[in-house]
Amino acid sequence: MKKRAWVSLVLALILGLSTLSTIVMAEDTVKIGGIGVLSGPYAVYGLAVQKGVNLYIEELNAAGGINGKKVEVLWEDTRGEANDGVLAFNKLVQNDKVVGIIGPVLTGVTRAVAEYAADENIPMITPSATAYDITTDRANVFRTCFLDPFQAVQMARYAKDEGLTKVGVIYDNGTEYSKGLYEAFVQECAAVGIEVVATESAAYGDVDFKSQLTNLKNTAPEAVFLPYYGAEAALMLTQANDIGFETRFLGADGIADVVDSIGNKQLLTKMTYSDHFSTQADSQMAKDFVAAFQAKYDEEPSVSFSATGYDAAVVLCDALAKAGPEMKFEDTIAAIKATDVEGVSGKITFDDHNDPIKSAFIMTFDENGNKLFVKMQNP
Amino acid sequence: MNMKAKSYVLNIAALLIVYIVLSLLISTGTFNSYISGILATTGIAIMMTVSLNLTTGLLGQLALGHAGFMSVGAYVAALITKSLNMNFGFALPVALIAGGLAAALCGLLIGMPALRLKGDYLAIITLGFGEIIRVVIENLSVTGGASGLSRITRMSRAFSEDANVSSAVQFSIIFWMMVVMIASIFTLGRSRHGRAIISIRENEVAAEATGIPTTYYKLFAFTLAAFFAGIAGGLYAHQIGMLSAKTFGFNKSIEYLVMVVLGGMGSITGSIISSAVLVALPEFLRGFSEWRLVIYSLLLILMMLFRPSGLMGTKEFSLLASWTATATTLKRWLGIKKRPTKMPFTPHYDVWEDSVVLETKNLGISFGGLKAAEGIDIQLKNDEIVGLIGPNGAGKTTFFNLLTGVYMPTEGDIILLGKPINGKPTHLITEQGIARTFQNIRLFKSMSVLDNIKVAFHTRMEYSPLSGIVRDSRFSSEEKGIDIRARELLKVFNMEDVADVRADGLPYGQQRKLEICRALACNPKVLLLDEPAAGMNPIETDELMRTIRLIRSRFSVAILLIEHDMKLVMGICERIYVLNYGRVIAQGSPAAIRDNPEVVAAYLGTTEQAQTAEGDLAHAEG
Repeated sequence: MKKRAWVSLVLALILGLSTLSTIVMAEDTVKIGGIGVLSGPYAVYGLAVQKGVNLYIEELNAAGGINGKKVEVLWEDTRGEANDGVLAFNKLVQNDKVVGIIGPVLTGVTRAVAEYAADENIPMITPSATAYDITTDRANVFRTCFLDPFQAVQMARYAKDEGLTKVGVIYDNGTEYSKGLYEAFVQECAAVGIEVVATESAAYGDVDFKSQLTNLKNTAPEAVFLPYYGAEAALMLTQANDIGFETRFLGADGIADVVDSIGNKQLLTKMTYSDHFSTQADSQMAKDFVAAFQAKYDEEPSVSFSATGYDAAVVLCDALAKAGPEMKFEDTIAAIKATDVEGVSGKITFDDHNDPIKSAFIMTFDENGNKLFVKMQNP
Repeated sequence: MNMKAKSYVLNIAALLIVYIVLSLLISTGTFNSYISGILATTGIAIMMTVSLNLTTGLLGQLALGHAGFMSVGAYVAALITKSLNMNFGFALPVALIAGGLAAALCGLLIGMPALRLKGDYLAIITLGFGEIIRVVIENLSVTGGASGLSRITRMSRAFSEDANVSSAVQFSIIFWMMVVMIASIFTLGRSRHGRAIISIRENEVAAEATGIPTTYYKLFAFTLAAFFAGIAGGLYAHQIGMLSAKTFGFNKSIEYLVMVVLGGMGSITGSIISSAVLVALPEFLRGFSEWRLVIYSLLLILMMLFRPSGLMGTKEFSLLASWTATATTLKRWLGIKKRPTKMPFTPHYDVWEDSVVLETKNLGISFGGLKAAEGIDIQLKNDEIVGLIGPNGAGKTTFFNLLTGVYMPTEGDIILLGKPINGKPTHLITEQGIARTFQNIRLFKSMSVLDNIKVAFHTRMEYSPLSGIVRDSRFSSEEKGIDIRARELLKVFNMEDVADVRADGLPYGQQRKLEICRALACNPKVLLLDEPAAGMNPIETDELMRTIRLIRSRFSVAILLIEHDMKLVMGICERIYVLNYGRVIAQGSPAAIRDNPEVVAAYLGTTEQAQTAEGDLAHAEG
């Protein structure tokens, strides 16, 4: 009897919740689909995007929305899985009839979803998928972040500007992000005349890099390029310090969250990396964004995808406003293609490959782990 | 209409109705690509779970890398359709089969070393395989490395200009592949091959001793499961359109394992229900994504608390009857003739009458210097009942293990029916004529009494796994034959009325009897009974004595029995060998043994107590 009561309680709960979820949303709004990883180990990126997008939509609605209509973003979680991303996409397009998509956040998921988006020819802007081929041959797919190779190229040029001549590289041969950056960095180094004195690789999921770091140390590079995410980069900085390896480290946007994973913040002063945005950026729009974000969420937009997410919303809503009241997909796409707006991460226009033409923010840290804006590296 | 036909009509009708309704809904666009995507994902998950259940549920081996096989199938199939420059309708079947075969090959290669071992080695090795295959895929350039393969032709687009029609074709492919896969596993599970696989799960030692080549069947089931996973992988690749090796990591394998466990290990229908629910549920819970994980985990916990054996346990919902009936109908249409019932049991009574059937010469074994048995010479004639007695630790069971190939003798020979058999694996020795029972009963507990017997007929049946799956005439003639023989055998032991009872539901005495019965079903020339009366009360022992005499007179078999119950030994044995410290210290008629002072002394250890022992033996005789 007790068992049955329990089971029926749970069933009732589920039924009740599913009915709740089907309550009809208010009509006469502009519906935009948001797809991102909102749970699981990569949720930090998805949530950052979500905050940025929601902030802009709130500002926009306060200012009257698009042509008098309020804008609503329907968010769907991908859990970081391609299959869930595709299901989420189909739900938004088929069931919710959204007029445009912001997301997905992770490259792998975006690659799967972009294919479906191309079939539907729905305008889609990813704020964070950095792999080159995602927008290739897909007139409807755009992004507001720069590409992996672009960042590596900018870092190599920055190294040249800094007068470095000998560098080492360590990369993860199991992630596309790391491999892509590594290849572009090495290529650009050759182009600008920097010697790559040592190349080391590690497997996806490795946590001990001491042997690779020792090999690097033996070649005495002036800097080491780490195309990694924060958690691994923190391990490397710590382990390099353990073996007495004194050098500078260069990285890309993945480094941004390194401060969450490292114990000895002092080590971060050796790190320089490129990012999509800096909270210390000096444009008025960026300053307003940082202030509004701070006010709404009581935190700084420290993950730069909040900024690119905000910009994706800016670009999409700007295009929707120009596409006319029916908001036909092809009109919106044409409007995005012709975009020339001021975003928080700089002025945004798109090239032939639907990639944004914008600057990289070169960043470093102070001894307390606070981010310091160094300079803009222009393309 | 009989039961079989009814169930046939019911199942086929249900399948067709489900299929027609769903494909109509999809092709008319009532079910949009979101819903058809969920259906396709669910179908693929069902295939994965059902195939994993073959390894984990039916064979009883824990496998932690099932998603690895899926990835092999997915990548191979995708690479084939990407590189084959032909019509997708032709390329897809080729790609799916190639994907399945590639996965099966991987299964074979890792199963070969892993399945020879007992215990959890398979779990560890499959765990390693799942990770290795991911790393390999991420580092090959042909698989697209870490960025994976994208722009794979998608079934939901490729078949027609109209997306709805193409989605309906995709649904049809996945639906019917799933039905065929499930039905194959169902029918296979109920053929001689399936019985062999399940008997390994139930008791590997007994299965081997009943003549089942256990290594072969473990490898067979594991490879077949990998094949099915490979096909499911190929379908996945052409459903989603993009592959990345990380999708098929450890978590994915665990997800499928959870589905198997929830559905009930060994229940195919349970697997179907649990995977359908677990894949579809998160989608229905999308509306409140924050609660999704909570509800999902809550359901898992509740399930494990209230139904620890899973949704269906090992029970099934019947799809089998419909399959059988379909096969029968097809056979009639195709004009395939019914084969006469083939009887598997052809005892060779007269050939060896009154001659030596089993002989050991100077047989011995030492375990690292310790001689557990040495210089044992015994002879067994046809129709003889011979006792093997000796104090605890004298080497009696070791001797049995030597005879049945569990241990390899380090010296001497074993000659069965004139041919040496030492060094052969247990199941071949059983096939050649030595069957045994165990000191602690080893039945195939969750199988029916009848199926326990049928497992023992395995070696005398011939039909292939494919015959078993499609249920051709060879299958039915042999299955009919063993059904008759098995029931005859049970009748001899007055057990025909418990034929359909689960073996572990029998009372103790009957379990002993069933084990003997199963051993006899192997058609042995020599029957080894290891303490058949252990744990029996006097009434059961009396019945056992009658049974043993009956066996000798009916089956023309030499019986060698280990026993401590002197009443039984003295009562039915014609000759007795006495073993002590691994050597034969005496042999002869019961009377001679009873009066042998050396035996009495050895048996009880001290001369003081010899008097008492003698008294005991005399009492037993009386």
